[in-house]
Amino acid sequence: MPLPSNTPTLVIIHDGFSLYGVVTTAGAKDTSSVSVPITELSDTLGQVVAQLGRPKQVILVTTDITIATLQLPPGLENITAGDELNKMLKWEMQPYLELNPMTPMLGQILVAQDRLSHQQLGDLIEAQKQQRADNPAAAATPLGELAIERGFIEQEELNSAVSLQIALSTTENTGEYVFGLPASEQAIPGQNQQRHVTAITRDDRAKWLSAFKKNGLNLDAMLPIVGVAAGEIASSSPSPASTIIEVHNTFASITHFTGNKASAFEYRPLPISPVDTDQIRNLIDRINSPSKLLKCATGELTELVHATGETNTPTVQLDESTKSLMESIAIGAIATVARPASGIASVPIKNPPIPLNQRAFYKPLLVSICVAGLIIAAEFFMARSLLPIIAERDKQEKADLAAHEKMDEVNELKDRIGIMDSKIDALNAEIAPIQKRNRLIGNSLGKRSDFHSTLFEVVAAAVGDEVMLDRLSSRNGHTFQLEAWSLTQEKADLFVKQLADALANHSMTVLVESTRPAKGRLNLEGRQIMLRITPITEPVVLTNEGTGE
Amino acid sequence: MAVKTEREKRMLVMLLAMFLLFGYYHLCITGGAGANLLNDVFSGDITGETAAVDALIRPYQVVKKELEEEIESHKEDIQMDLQYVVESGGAALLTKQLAEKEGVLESTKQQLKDQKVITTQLLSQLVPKSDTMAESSSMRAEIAQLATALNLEILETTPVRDVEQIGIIETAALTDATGNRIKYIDGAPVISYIDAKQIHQLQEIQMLEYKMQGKAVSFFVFLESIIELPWSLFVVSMDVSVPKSNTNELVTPEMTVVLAY
Repeated sequence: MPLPSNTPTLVIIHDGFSLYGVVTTAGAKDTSSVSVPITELSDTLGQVVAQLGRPKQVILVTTDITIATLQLPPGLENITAGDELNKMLKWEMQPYLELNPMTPMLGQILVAQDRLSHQQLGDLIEAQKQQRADNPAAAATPLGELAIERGFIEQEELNSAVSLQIALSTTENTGEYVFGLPASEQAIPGQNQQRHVTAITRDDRAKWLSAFKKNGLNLDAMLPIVGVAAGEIASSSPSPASTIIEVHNTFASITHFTGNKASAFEYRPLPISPVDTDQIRNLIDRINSPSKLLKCATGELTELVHATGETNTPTVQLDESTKSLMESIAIGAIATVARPASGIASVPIKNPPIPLNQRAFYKPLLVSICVAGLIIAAEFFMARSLLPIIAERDKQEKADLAAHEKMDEVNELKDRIGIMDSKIDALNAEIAPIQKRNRLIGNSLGKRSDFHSTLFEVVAAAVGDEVMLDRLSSRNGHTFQLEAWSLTQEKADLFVKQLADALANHSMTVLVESTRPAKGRLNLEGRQIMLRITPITEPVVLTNEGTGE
Repeated sequence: MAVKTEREKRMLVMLLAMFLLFGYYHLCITGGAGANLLNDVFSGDITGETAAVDALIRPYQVVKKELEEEIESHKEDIQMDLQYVVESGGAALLTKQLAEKEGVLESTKQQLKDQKVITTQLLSQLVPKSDTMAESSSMRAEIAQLATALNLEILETTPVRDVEQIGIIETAALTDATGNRIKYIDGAPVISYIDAKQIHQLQEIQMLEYKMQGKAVSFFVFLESIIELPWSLFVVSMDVSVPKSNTNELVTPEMTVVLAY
C-alpha cells in the first residue's frame, strides 16, 4: 500500500548488528535519527522507539531481506500462487540466499556497532599477533579484554557484543522463505521479464514482527537494505553513475543501473575486519562498471575510500554530501514504499491468503463433494427407482386387504352358516328322540291299535253263516294271520274276496296261504282257509349313505 | 498444486459431469452391481468413501428386494384368498345359503315345537306312571270291570318284561321273489322288532298282556270299549282263537291281547 509522503514515518534500518532509527517528516526535509547497537532485538527496538517516538508509519529496512533480479515469466503470480510460487522463487533465488551464514567474529561486531574503529581493531589484532610472537607458548589476550585494557570499550559493551555473537550463532534457519514480488510491468507475451524479488525467512520475519508488536508498532513495509537508497543517492549526484556502491562496515550494497532504472543488485560482504584501503580498492576494482558512485556509512570508511586514490579517476565518484547513508536509505525506503513502480517490493508482512485449491483440505473436500454428489445421485436414482415399486406394493397391499376382507366376509358367512348348522343339528338332535317317541307312540302304536279295530270290523263283516272264524292273530308284529272254516269253496273264495277288497282300502293285501278240506266245529265237511294279511310293500331305495327303509 | 487454466477448469467440470452421469446410469443399469463387485474385490481395503457408498447401496438393494418380495407375497395372498372365496362359493351364494339355513333353523324350531306339542298331547292321555301306581291300578280296575261287564273272564294278566315274551321276534329283512329288499309302505300297521323293543323301553309306556275267555263278539266290543276309556290304550297284538275240540260241545274262544298304556 503506498504511503503518503508527508506523514511522519519511522524507518528502522538494520545492518545486522545495529538498529538505526530515522524519522522523516515533510517529505524527508526534516529528519532525526538514532543508532543503537543490538543487544536483544526487542529491547534495542524499544530504545529506538523511546528516542524517536511512535509515528503511524513504520518501515523496516534490513540485511535479513535478500534482493535479487530474476528473469521471470510475465504474470507469474497469476499462473501460480502459494507454495508453488514460493518453491519456484526459492529455486530461482537459490544462488542469492545465504542458507548457512557464518557466525560473525567479535571484532566484526564491535566495529559494526561503532564501538571500535577499523583502525583500533587493526591495532588490537596486531597486538595479539605480537603477543603470540613474543610468547608462542602462551595464549594471546582475548580481543575483548585487550580492547577494555586499552580503554576502547567498556565491559558492558563487550558483554553486549558477546551476547549478540552468541545469539547470532544460535539462530536457526528452517529454510522457509516468503517472497515479495513487485508489480508486473507490461511485457512481451512469451518473453521473460526482469523483476527484483525480495525474500526473508519466515523465522526472521516472525522475529521482527514480534519485536515490533512488543513495542506497539505495526509494520507497513519490510525492505532489503540493498538497493533501497541507490535511487536517492543517484538522484542527488551531479553526474549520473551506472553503479551505486554503498559501503557499510561489514558489507557493500551494489546497485547497477541501466538508464535510470536499477537493473541488478549485489550484496557483497567485506572480508574479515578490519577493512583497509586494499579491501576498498579491490571492491571498487572488481565492479565492472563505466561509472561508479560510492557512499560510505561512516567517516572512517569515507577516508579509506579517499586513501585508495580511486576517487581521482573519472570513473569513480564519492558522495560526501551531508546526508548520511542511513538518511538516504530512510528516504529511499519511504520513496520505494510510496511508489510501488520503483521496482523493489516489500516482503509480505502477512502471509497472503492461500488459494482454496492449495489448502490442505482441498483434495479431501473435493473427494468428499464428489462422493456426496455420487451419493446424492445414487439416492436420487434409488428414490426414483423405488417409487414405482412402492406404489405397486401399496396397490397390491390394498388389493390384498380387499381380498382379505372378502375372505373374512366369506369366513364370517361360513361361520354363521356353521353356527346355524350346529343349531339345526342341536335342534335335530333334540327333535330326534322326541320325534322317535312320538312316532313310536303316535304312529306305530296308534295305527296298529286302530288297525286292530278295523281288522275286527272288516273280518266281522266278511264272516257269514257259512264261514266261521277260527283264529285271528297279530302276534308277530308284522303280519296278521287268519284261520277260518268255510262250508264251501265258493263261500271261502267270496270271503277272501270280500276281505281283500275291504282291506285294500287300508293298503293291506290278503294272501291265501292254504286251503284244504276240513271238518268244522259242527263236524260238517268244509274248507279250512289260512290267510296272511300284510301291508303293501315297496322296493327299498338304496342311497349312497347306505340302505334306507 | 498448480492453478488451473480456464480450459483445464472446463475439462475438469466436464470430467466430473461425465463421472456423475456414468455413476448415475451405472446404478440405473446394474443397480450398483459394479460397486458391489469392486467392494468385494477390494474388501480388504475399505475406505470411508467405499464404505459410505456400500452402506448406501446395500440397504437400497435390500429394501428393493424386500419390496419385490412383499409384492410377490401380496400377489400370492390375493391369489389364495380369491381361490378360497371361489371354492367357498362366493359371498353371494353363502349369503343365500345363510338365508336358507335361517329358514331351516326356523322350520326346525317349529318342528321341535310341533313335536313337543304332539308329545304333550300323546303323553297327556297316557296313564301317569307315578310312584304310587294309583292311576295304573285304577285303569286296570276299569279294564277288569269292562271285561266283567262283557262276560269276559280274565284268565291271566301278565306284565310284559320282554317283547319276545309276546311273540315279537327279530325277523329277516323283507325281500321280493328276486331277492331285492322291500319294505312295508309308510304308515303300515306293523311293529317291527326294533320298534317294539324301543316302545318297551320308553319310560312313558308299559305293556300288559291279558288272557281272556269269552265270546268273540265280546272281544270285539272289549277292544272297541277300551278305546273309550279316559286313558290312551294301544293294542300291540292280539290273538283270538277257538280252541280245537273233538267233542260237539261249544268251546269258548280265548283271546290274548297285549295292551300298551
